[in-house]
Amino acid sequence: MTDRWQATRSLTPAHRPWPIAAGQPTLFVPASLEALAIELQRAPAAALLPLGGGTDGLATTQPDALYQLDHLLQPASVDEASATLDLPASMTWGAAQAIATAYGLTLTDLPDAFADATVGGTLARAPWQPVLHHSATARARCIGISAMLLTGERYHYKTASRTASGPDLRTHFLGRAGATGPILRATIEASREGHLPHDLSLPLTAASLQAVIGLQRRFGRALRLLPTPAAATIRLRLRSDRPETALLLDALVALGAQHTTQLTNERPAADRWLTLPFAEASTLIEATTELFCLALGPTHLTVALRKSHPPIALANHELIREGLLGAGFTRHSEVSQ
Amino acid sequence: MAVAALVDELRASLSAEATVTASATAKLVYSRDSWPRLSLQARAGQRAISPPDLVVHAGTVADVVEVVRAAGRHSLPVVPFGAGSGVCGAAVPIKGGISLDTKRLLDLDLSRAADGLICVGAGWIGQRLEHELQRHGYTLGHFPSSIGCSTVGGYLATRSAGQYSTRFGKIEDMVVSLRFVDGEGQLRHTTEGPLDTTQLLVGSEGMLGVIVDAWLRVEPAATSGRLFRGYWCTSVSQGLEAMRRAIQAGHQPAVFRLYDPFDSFISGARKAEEGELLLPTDPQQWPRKKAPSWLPASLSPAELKPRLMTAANELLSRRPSATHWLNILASKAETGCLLIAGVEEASDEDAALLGRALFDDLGSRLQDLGPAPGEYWFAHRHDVSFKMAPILAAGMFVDTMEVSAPWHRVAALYDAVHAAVENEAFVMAHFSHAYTSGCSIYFTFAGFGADESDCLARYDRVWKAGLSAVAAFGAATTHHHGVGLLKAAWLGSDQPGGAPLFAAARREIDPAGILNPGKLWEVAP
Ligand SMILES: Cc1cc2nc3c(=O)[nH]c(=O)nc-3n(C[C@H](O)[C@H](O)[C@H](O)COP(=O)(O)OP(=O)(O)OC[C@H]3O[C@@H](n4cnc5c(N)ncnc54)[C@H](O)[C@@H]3O)c2cc1C
Ligand SMILES: Cc1cc2nc3c(=O)[nH]c(=O)nc-3n(C[C@H](O)[C@H](O)[C@H](O)COP(=O)(O)OP(=O)(O)OC[C@H]3O[C@@H](n4cnc5c(N)ncnc54)[C@H](O)[C@@H]3O)c2cc1C
Repeated sequence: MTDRWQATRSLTPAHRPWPIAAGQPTLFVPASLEALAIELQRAPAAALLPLGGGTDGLATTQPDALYQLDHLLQPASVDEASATLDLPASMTWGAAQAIATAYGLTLTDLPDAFADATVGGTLARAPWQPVLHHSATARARCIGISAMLLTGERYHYKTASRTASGPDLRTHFLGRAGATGPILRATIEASREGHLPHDLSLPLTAASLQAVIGLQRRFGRALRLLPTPAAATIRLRLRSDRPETALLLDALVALGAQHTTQLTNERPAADRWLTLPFAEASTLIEATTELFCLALGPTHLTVALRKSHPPIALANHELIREGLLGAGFTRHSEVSQ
Repeated sequence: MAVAALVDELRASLSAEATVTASATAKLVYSRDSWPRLSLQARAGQRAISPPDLVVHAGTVADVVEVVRAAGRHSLPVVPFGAGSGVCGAAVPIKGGISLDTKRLLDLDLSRAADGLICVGAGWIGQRLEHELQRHGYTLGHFPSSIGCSTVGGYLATRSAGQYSTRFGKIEDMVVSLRFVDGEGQLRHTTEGPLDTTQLLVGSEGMLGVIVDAWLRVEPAATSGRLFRGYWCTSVSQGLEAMRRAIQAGHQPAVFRLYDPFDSFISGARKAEEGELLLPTDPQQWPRKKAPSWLPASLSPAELKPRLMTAANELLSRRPSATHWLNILASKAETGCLLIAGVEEASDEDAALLGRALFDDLGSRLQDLGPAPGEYWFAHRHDVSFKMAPILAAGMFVDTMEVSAPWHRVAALYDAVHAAVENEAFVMAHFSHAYTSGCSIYFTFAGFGADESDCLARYDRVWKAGLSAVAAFGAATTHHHGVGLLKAAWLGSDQPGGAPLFAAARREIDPAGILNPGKLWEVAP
């Protein structure tokens, strides 16, 4: 590496997103974004990647070096009226949440495990969300980014709520694990605190898988279905088009998962299906939005309302209860919330 | 290359459902879309920018593959064409070639509708698709004003939004994946590779692939679960604040529309009584620049109505200063603003529960006008788009500009665009398509020139001034009409630095650059 960079510290294991320790990549600290741009133009593709929170665990390529970004990025700012946070990519979700809280906003739809993951690292690993999980992902909340190409040029996707300005060119960076250049900033939509429900949840037993699917279909936008630890098995759909699927499959089988057949006429047909005990699966289910998770019946479900306004949550609660009972669900009193 | 030979070649290779023609009529029809500027040009006697060399109606997906391959062999552009309802010139074949009409791609797979997914051919006209879905108990939830004259392929290619977008999302929120034919004639699925490219194809305006079908989300259809309520706001700011609070509180109304004072006035929410004229009856005496001192600071609906009627008639007869005068009158209107909120859910109970929560929230801040304004809107919701023709026929120009901004900038953006264009055109607006972080403003503007070329020049100046004001605000220059030829110069404002990224995508998907060339990022700034 060049004199523009200095190796400051070696990486702790927590900062290594690679499963196999083939060697320790060096950590570099560019003096400026311009210096970073020059290095990126020189380095072979994917030899030089941004440092995130190191929580990924599924990255397959190990770069020669990682570079630190946080000292180069402006601090976070908040647009209170629009309920958005403009965040440096190196910020962890934990830190972002702390800022949001100070403004009466919240990011709590994001999984707890994200506390140590960075905004940039998450977006760099985020796929386009699959159909049923679209509202709670970091990707869905990201309404703008600023990034650097490997040529050193800069790209911004401005932070209007929605545009029709051609293809969404963020595709070049999202889910690319840093190989196409660093994400520098992201604008994230938050929710207004105080409007979140006090975890109105309803323990239920599903009579059949069809009933679960029916529930997802009817209320998919309004709620999250969380299979509870009491449930025996979980069925996962692993998308065959994801590079990490093979790795994940091995890991799951090692955890006791069993291959199973496909349930419905899903597309693409080559997807892999597994059944495995919930306890082992729970982290993994939370770990990636690329997994569809369907609880098998008879199954215990906790229905958590995502809607943020108490009257709506209450209204939905009633609706859901009636809808569910009509759809063949029964109350399950033993499941705690 | 002889067009006749290509016509023969294609006729021999395409399916029986396909048609291939190079007739003068077809070339004329496919030389344009519904961009109002093209109507102004036609009215001025100018010829089409550039007609296609031939027009193909693909009957099957294989036909699309074959047409793109043939075009590649002959180095001819291929311009996908849905229903030509685009309002920005996106489907205009500026470099000639083949206009490829996809309206005959009418496959429909409802086998997974119960899971909330359908697979639909790109050629379906929105209205017909919606009828078909509703027959089976589902809805797509996509209701653009052009629903009767636009296709699924067109929606996807332009990032379209329907009138219920606050509840169902824009088309990009509804699409799960799609199939397209790339520039080399390969049929591809956006989720086939390691990276999902769906959102790269969405909005690509025919430049990154010919979309042949798509997996879209559907929901159970509303049968009767539809409720409306109108509210009266003292100002645009008060209305916007009520919308913002409701959306951020988690409400998701199907319809949420706030009209500015003038749009509120003409939307018929308040019936003004005829009042006596305070204005000089002779429009020749109307002021040309500023509001006269003798005009009251504000006008009641009864005072306003007759003046507006006169001014509007003068506008239609292209009286100099009529646009300016209308703007002044509009700014004097003390009518306040109309907000319409509506919920639509699959069942009456759902609608009642969600409606009650929303209406209680709004009613705690605003004056409740009951259901009538919303029901009136619903009954006439497609009318306004079709009122352009008489205005164009009267020798004027008219168009709409839909932009979007974060909440904290919406009101100021409204003022800025107004100020930027009011010397050239009469302008009014409504606010709709609300999201947690912002909403869109839909401006309608109209004016005229001394003659046809002045009219065109003025029309161009309005767009330039309006969009420059939007860009200066850092807001989005297009919310749902797409880019086309009209807004390409502002792409760099919405996605600064996007040119090399688009070029890279183009090289990968369409290396020879034959798909709708010369649009989006390929328009010289
Ligand atoms: C207990 C646990 C629970 C988890 N739960 C979830 C979950 O619920 N959902 C989920 O999706 N994932 C989950 N994960 C996986 C992981 O947290 C995510 O992939 C995370 O978003 C990665 O962020 P990071 O900052 O740790 O990135 P890292 O692991 O540091 O990096 C991931 C990749 O992104 C690149 N990168 C980092 N920063 C940038 C940047 N600024 N620009 C471009 N590229 C960058 C890196 O170079 C690397 O290739 C979980 C992981 C653990 C250990
Ligand atoms: C009266 C009126 C009202 C309108 N109201 C609305 C509204 O409420 N909301 C809204 O969003 N828009 C509205 N519009 C604009 C217009 O209807 C939309 O832009 C629509 O999405 C265009 O669809 P189309 O099938 O007519 O496409 P076209 O105009 O034929 O084409 C538009 C673009 O899409 C490309 N394209 C078309 N089909 C395909 C395909 N199969 N594959 C790849 N590219 C393709 C074309 O090449 C072109 O670049 C309105 C237009 C009119 C005239």
